Amino acid sequence: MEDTDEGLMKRVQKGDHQAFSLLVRRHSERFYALSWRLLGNEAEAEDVVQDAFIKLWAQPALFRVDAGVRFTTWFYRVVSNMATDRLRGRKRWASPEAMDILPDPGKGADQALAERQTQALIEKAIHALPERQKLALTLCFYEGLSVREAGAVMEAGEKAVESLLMRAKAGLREELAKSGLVAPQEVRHERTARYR
Amino acid sequence: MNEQQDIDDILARRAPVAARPDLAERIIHAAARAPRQPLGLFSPQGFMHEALSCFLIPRPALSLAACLLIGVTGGWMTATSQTVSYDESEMLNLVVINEEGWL
Repeated sequence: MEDTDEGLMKRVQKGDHQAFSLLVRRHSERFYALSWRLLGNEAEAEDVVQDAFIKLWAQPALFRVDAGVRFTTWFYRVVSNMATDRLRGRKRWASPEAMDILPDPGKGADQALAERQTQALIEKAIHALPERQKLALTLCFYEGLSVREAGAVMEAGEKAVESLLMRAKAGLREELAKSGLVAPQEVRHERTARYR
Repeated sequence: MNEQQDIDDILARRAPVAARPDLAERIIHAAARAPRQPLGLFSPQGFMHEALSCFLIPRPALSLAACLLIGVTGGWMTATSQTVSYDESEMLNLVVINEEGWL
């Protein structure tokens, strides 16, 4: 019996709930992580993943098994589109202080607080990025997708994804430099030029 | 140190909050209760889905632009073809019967 994602999808299309359960157990955490990184909120991230899987079960024909697209590529697209729609529906981004970032329990209280503040700053900087830049960064950096795979998810060329990644990192540097977490771009260039 | 390394290090510090352990089971149970769209073309919903998908416009802006272009081109060609030349009007005089005075 085919246990690849695409094989399971064929069975899901025939109404096999067991195959659907296997797919969910195999991928729910992975897509939850993507959703959380895009939304920054645990409850919303879970809602998006649940809605995406229910959509998959209710309308399995949306995935064309014979189109030669990998299930994960297609489902990354579904989840990221749903998360982006939810982001657009929000009036404003939740304050980073209010987000669900847990301090490391092994650290002292002061250190944990400092870490929490740093995490909040990182979150704020990431969520200040334009949607496409944030998605490219999430797919390539956190999900470990290649530029080509991220391009397939985002329906963009490799050059476009590379450009989005570069701009995302430049934007992050600019934002994080304001809070002193990294050196600003200009200073770094001067420093590297000095050592050439 | 690589110029991008410090940004990468900072990004790597961003660990996601784990989902609740029963997330997969909740999804599976919720899906079991969700109504399912039949795949068959010959079921009413399946037929409607296929029929509607024939009329879906994947790129509305492009379709609108194409329609405008076709409309303008068609209109321009019709306007030029409606101009009746002298020879054509002579031919029409022969074909069209003057019915004045018959009734």
